[in-house]
Amino acid sequence: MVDRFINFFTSLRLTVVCLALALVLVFVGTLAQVQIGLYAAQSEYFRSFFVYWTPKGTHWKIPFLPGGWLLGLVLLVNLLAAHIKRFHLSRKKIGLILIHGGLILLLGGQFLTEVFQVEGQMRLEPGDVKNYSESGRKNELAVIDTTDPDKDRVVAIPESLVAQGGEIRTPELPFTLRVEKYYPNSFPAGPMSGESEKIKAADGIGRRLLFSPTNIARSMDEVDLPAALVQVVSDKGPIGEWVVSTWYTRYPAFARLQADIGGIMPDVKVTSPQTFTFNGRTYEIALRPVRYYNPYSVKLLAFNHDLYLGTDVPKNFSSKIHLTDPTTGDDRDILIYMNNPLRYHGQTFFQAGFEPGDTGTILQVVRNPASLAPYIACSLVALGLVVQFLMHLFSFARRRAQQTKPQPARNKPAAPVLRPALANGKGRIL
Amino acid sequence: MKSSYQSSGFAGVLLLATILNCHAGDQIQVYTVPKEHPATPLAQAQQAAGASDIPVNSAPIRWTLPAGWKEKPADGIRLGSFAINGENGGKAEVAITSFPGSVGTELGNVNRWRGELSLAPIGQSDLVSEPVTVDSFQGKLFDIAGTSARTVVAIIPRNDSSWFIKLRGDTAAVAAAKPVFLEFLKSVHFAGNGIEAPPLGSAPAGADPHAGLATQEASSDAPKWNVPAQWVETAPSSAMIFKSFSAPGGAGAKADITVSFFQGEVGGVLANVNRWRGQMGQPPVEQGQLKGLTESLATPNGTATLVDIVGANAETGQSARLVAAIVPHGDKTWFYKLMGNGKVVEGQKNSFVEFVKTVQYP
Repeated sequence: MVDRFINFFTSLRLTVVCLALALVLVFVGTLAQVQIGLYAAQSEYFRSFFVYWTPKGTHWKIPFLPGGWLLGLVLLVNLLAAHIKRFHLSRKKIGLILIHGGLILLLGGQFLTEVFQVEGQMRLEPGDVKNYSESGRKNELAVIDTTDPDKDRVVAIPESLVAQGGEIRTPELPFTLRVEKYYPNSFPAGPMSGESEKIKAADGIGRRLLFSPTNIARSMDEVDLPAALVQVVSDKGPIGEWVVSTWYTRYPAFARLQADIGGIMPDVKVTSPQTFTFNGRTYEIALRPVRYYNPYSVKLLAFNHDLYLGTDVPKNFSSKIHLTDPTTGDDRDILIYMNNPLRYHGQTFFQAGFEPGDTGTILQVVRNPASLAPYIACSLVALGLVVQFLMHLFSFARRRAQQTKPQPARNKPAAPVLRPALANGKGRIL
Repeated sequence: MKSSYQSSGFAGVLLLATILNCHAGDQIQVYTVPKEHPATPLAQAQQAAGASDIPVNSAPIRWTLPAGWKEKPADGIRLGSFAINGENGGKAEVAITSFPGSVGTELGNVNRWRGELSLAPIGQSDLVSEPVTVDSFQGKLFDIAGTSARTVVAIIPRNDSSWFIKLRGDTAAVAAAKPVFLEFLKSVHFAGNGIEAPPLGSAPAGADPHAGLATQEASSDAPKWNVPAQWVETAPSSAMIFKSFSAPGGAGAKADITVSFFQGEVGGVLANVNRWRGQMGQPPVEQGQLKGLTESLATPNGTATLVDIVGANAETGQSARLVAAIVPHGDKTWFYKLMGNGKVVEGQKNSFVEFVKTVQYP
């Protein structure tokens, strides 16, 4: 049984099958970009263990093709297993072992990065204090109990659950959320506009500001802005109905929307929270970018954007922040600027962008538990190459020294030995 | 034997698929967080940080206000906002906004504006636009007419941002305002496109003082020149400035002379002349008008371009004059600027020109 298992993972046939499946995956995944866009195709086909098929009208997820991660993982295991089976550990091969170890670490590290890296953005205007970053693409339906004057209790429902439609029940909420409509990407529509399909809510901004569905984003630099019509229902009946959308919560969409409706609905502030009360408690409901909270907070003191004199070529962007961490007692000012990120608590804060007019800064916040893997892997490969080279060099030098050493005189010259053979008339050297 | 081996492998793969699917992140999360702190007013925040010396925000866009337009205060999202009162009570407004990257496609934007006018969405093939140039940036102009209202929008992609300059209002008012709007677009100037950067001396403490200063590091081989006797060398107000002098006049009036140099053409003559015109509160000019406003100056190192602008200092509002010379030399461009009180500049102009001619470059 164990032998069969080993044979399976060390077989060349597995390598060939994986490579063939990879070909199919690339082909199918590339075609899928036409329908679902580049980002979604990358997520579903390449950054996944399986590619799932959902029959129409169901919520089933039936795997029909191995995803990029699974193929990469199996190939890695296949290579490792083949190596272990056929490779004999010896001092002479220490260089090769180091090189291959480095390569495997590089591949494994990248895999861990793909799986575990959390990347978000922190947008701050001077004076803003934040203890969270926001995902660039993922969204959540947040139902927040804001009754307590000091803290908020958040129930965050992934967008994927909202996308399934129907009722969302959780013991964490005293009511049920009924998703009546969901558009994966949307655009705001006026009450009189001619779109055939649009959602209008009974409560909140959605009474006046409607949303229509639109095609999902195709390019990497576009972000889908979903909208949903959500009814909140208690066991006694409906509490209310709201349109939730990242048009209200994701920058710069909300600024854009506010600017657009400014001349039409000057009294509407799109970022105003949509609230309701139930059983004496106040709740907010919003579809917003997924938030990653930190145990510490960051306050933007100032943002600076320097240009080269007489040009609009940026010379330097810098954000002066104040970091407060009650868990460690850290309380200090820090300057983040290009190529000088802040590394704190396993997270790295990069200066990533700024708001037009330099009114605020955008910091990229990355948590990557495998961030050291490429450095270690490259060091291993470099060390392995040096060791391998030196071993070859020494062995060559040794051979060379032996060749150039004067040979001791032999008792009998070689020619007489050959002579009888040549002379035997058969013309062959024996 | 082989089939049991294959089926166990298949079962394993399915099991893995199920396990991984369960960990796909479709979990409801519950947590408690402290309430968010509202942003403190900008000045207060800066004062609290002791960072009042750091220029946080400079006007990102400038324009010349057309007659009859009433400027409304910018509100953070609108960087410029104007009201236009047309004939017969018709009204229109102009809004200037800017956003990083792109929010939605061009078609999506147009369809949103069509929606505001109660028009049905159109397809990509029906998208019609005219080219428009704003401050040397190429953009597109969309004109969307509804039954009672009309929208004219210029979209100008610039660096990593998109700028939207939108005229919207009653059909008749927009029709009347459109020619003025097109003239207005010509008067628009973006920050950084000829507006001087904040001085490096005000960079936050701890910032790398050498960041991006490759152009000035070559200053060890300083040029040789004959400085007019009445000029007094002063400390450069910015690391961008190589040398600076002051020429005193009577009754406290004075003019300042600055010398700076940069790699390459640095935007060319037109961009720099318009930058200086902006500093003198003058409207920008087109390439064709440049010839009448500049003169060539023969120097031992080649031909320089001399420009003389009379106007008012855009910062102080006081009447002023600016004489500047652009001298391309090798792979660099040298800028000489004499700016200050009109009378002092008048008296110093010849000395300034002679000074520029005496410079021997390294």
